[in-house]
Amino acid sequence: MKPLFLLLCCASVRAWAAWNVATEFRVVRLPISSGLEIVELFSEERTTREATAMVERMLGDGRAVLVAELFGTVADGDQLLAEDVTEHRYPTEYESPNPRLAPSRASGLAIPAAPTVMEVKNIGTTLKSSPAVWAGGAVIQASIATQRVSHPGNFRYEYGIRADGIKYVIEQPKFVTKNTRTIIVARSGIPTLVGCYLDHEKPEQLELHIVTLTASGTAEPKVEAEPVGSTGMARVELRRYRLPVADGVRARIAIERGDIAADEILRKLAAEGKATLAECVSLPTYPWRQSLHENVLEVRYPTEFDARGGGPPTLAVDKRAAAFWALPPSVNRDNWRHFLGPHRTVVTPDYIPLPPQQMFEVMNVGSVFEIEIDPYYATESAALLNVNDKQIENNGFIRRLDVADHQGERLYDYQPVFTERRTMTNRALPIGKWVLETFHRRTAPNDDVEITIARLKTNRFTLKTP
Amino acid sequence: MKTLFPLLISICAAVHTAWADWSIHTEFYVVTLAKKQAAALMPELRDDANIDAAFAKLERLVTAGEAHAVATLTGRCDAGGKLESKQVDEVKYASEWEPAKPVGDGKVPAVALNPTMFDVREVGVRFSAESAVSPDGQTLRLKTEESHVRLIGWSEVEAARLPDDSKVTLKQPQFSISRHAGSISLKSGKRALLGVHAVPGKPDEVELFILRGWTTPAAK
Repeated sequence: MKPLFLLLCCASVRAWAAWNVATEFRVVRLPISSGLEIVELFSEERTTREATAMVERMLGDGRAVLVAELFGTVADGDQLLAEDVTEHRYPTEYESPNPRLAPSRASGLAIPAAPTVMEVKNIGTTLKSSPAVWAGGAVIQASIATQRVSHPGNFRYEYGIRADGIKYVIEQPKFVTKNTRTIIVARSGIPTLVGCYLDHEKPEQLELHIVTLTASGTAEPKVEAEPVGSTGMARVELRRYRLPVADGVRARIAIERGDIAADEILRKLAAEGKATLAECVSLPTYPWRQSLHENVLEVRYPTEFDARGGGPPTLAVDKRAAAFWALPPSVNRDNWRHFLGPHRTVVTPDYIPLPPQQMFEVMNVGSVFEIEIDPYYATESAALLNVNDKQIENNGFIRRLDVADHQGERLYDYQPVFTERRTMTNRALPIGKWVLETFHRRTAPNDDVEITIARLKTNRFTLKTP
Repeated sequence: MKTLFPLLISICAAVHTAWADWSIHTEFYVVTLAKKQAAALMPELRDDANIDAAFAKLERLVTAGEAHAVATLTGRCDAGGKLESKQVDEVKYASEWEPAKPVGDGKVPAVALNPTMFDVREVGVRFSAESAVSPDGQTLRLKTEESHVRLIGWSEVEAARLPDDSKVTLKQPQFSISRHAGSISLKSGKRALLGVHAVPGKPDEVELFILRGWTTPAAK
């Protein structure tokens, strides 16, 4: 009876002597040069305060910008959701434009497709956190998910052109999502870098996601200290550089030979303007838990076209219409022109191009990086990692389908070309040393090489014996 | 019997919680103020021992017109119960349309753009909580969800272009949402800073979500 009674008492104390954990999430944007230095400082637990001070200084003198800030409190063991978002509504279904409602002037004007149905996307910042307090409030382990979605503009699809030069257009939004899901172990009150992103729109800037967890007790809680002398987490860092083929091959040989540190070679080439930083990841992780880093641009593209003309006869007013599948003014516009070739004039009586209806698909262009550490095979100098590194690029559009044959001419539609590079490995990474992760030759139109280097660090820190 | 005894104790404890002797009162406070002022108050607001003093300063700022009290929502329920409180306006807006049609004799550009479906959105502040109280009534554990929805403007989507080159647009509402969902442990009568959020369109201001909870003996 006595042990049972004690057990019930302990359970009661545990239930009502709880901790609250304040979670602070900051999104800071700063130039790459100083950003990489800060990322390096954040990679070690002992230099985290220095990194934080540097961020504060840069925010103070205007070299860095505080893009977003969220704060939320949650009880130990529960889940927090905090978000500041704005809903963005955009059309997803269209009807044909009515030609009687069209401008009658010369070229340069556009007829919008008529939207009929809207969808909603949340733009802004979201934080999810499930903290667990350890070691009498000194250390917090938390499952963290941070997300920032922005809307930098629209894709403009010109899906037809009339003989008088007036174009038919559809616009679809671009959304950029920067997302991290991981588990961190940090001292109470000490900031942790959970995400590091290169901006799609401003590639000369880094965006850092910084989370600070602070435990505070209620009712003088009595929580047992963790029976460990030291604890902490690991951090996997990744840098991806793009450089000309010859420089890339030379750099690869030097990296493999091990003459100079891999990042030193590539940073030097970047400083000389021969290499460009294309990706920068600094992802904290915890054994046996999958961690995810995602930095993607949603590309919405039409997947079905109806260019065979017609439409309701009453709407047919243009006796000589020219149709071409035009170019969304996004990346690689020249390549798209290359693929599409010169415009073809089509004489189609009663021709009215119909917009795609409900037929947009989405491809996330960018990078997704997932890791998991297997501690069974960890030693003092290396650890075994499962890595899934996926990149998708948009390399233009190609003509693909002959949909009509009017008076000897043909119409084409086009589909985007996405290039995927994926590396899935289960490999040992040495601790504290940059190593070559992948080497990819990017074909035309890019015609360069991409070198990815990775480093594993352990953020262990010793706790005082309680 | 040995196996059943702990189960029996657990059931008794659950019944005791369900028929608790306590009522729970909450006061959810939403205030906006300048970032600088918030930063000065933040250390105290985040400190359990000093939050009441910080709150008193906040109230002085509100009285002086330097901070804006957006909402104060109060609620009451019995221990183990739920409460919900809100202060909202309904905004109705069109969400689907027929395609634009020309109307009239054609001499004057005119167009009909008929909505076929409407949606409704509640704009304002909402607070909900599920409660639990320690047997002595001194500590509360509240699982809360709060949000502040604002109508920040209307965006325009072009639906047609008239022969005189004037645009016909659909208007769509833009709602911003500041949301916090989580749980909190509170000593009866104490306040806690639940969240700090951005204020849309006012980059120099922040919005604070503050909660106070206390218990009183339940009416029998």
